[in-house]
Amino acid sequence: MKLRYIIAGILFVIPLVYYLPLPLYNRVNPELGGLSFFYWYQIVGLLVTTVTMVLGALLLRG
Amino acid sequence: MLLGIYGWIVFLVLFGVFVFLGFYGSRWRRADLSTLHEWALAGRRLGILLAWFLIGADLYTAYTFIAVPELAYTSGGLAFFAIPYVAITFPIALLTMSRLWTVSRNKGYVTAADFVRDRFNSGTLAILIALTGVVAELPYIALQIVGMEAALDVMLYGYFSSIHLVSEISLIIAFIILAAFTFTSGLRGATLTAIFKDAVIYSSLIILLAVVFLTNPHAFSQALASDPKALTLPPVASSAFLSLAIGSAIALYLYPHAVNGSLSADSRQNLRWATSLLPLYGVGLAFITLLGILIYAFPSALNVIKLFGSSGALLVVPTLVVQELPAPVAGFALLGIFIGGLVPAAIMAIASANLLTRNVVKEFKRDMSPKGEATLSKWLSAVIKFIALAFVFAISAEFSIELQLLGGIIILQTTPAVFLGLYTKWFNKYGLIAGWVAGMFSGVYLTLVANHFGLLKSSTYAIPGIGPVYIGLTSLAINVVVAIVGTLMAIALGYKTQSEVKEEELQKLM
Repeated sequence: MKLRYIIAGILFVIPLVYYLPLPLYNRVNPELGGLSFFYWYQIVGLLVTTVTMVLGALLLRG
Repeated sequence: MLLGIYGWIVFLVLFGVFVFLGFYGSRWRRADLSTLHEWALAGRRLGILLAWFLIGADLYTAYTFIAVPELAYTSGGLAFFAIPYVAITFPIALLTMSRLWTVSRNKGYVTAADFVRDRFNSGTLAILIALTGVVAELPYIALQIVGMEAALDVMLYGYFSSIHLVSEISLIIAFIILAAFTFTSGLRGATLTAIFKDAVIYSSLIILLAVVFLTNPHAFSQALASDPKALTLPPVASSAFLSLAIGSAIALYLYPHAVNGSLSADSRQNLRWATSLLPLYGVGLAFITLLGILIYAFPSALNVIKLFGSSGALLVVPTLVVQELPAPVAGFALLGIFIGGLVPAAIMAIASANLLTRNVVKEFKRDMSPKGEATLSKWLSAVIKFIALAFVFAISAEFSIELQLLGGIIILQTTPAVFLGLYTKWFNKYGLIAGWVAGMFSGVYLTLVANHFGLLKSSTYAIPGIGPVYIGLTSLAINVVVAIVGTLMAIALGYKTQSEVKEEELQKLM
């Protein structure tokens, strides 16, 4: 197995790792513009997911 | 009345544009639409941007505008399971759809069941997978119709004494138009209208959020102060939250319409790029979900919702639109919600029709010509739309999201044959069939028990020691265990799988 496939695989697992520890982000503070941490942590995760996926797709190219 | 006359004019004019684009699709990138891959897969020629719009069209549906905000309004933070759902579904898509795309291009497949048939050398299994897809798609299409009705209810309020009757007649008219252009333009019409729909929706959402926060900069803190249950997720709901997210994430790309969208991409790498950029759609979904909580900061909109009694929670987004935006802009946004149900319904019906044609009818009528296949699919896609319409008039769910989750419980049972099948041919066809039977029966049975054999209002079932868990995931676990045990027994009895798909056909174009 080539190294780039392994790295791509790790990148694709990051979103799952980000969202699984629910007790860590299921809280009110720190708030952002009045919004609980619970919500904005998850929205930031979508941007994290996009970045990891684009990098993963880049590694799989070819 | 809630929507002024200028709002109506904008709505109707733009609906005219929508219908024109739908029919114009047949002339766009002109080709012989009497073949199935041209009609149903737009000739497999969609680049990054078009594939992104088309697959994204399956995300921005009535599920997003109506069902998830409804859940946020009634249950607060639980609705946010939709965010990890969309974040996790795309990595899964990237790992599965690029292989399915490659093998489909190599072997001329149009559906996932085409692949399963060759992979496990079983027509029976392919028929089961195809029928599962068609049945799972019905409640999902029904949800689109519920969403369109919600937009109409708000628009018609005050104009007619019997809103219900007028909205049902309007829906039937809209579906006749939709059936006509799907018939003539196929996926091309759906792609063009998907771009139009998303442009309308993106701009409406930005305008709505700008107005909401300009008129009330403290909307979030106010809303969370008047709806404290929404501050975070109650810990008892943790298992439901995570299992709904993961179950939905696995389910999305098993749906026939998502497979269909993926197979229409013009290259494997473009499909990967499009899929990688799709989580961005989720940001819009997150803000639309938050509207179900933000509405608590807008007393006038809350009062309107109460006018509609028990079905009011469905109307969170349409109500905010008519209460907070000037009539012409509100008409524009309501059109977005309306065609936001119509376009996905068209794509879903096309995908279901392909399955019925290729994997059920053709299984018994091997000599069907390519032209015959396309003609049959066109007619079936029209029939399916009206079956879904009848389904909505006949069935009712307490929360509209349950319709989508019910579809998920059903479609998840195709995971071993399709997703695992893309990576291994170890499974035996009899083992997979046994797993499917166990998964399907346990899924239906647990759903009936969870709802006390009545109105659909829950799709979780409490597992001792864990808490409420999405039934789709529980029955998938049963399915996989039975499939593994069944395969081991088949191996012990000396059965061997004769796969007609070679490993390299999944990896590169031959």
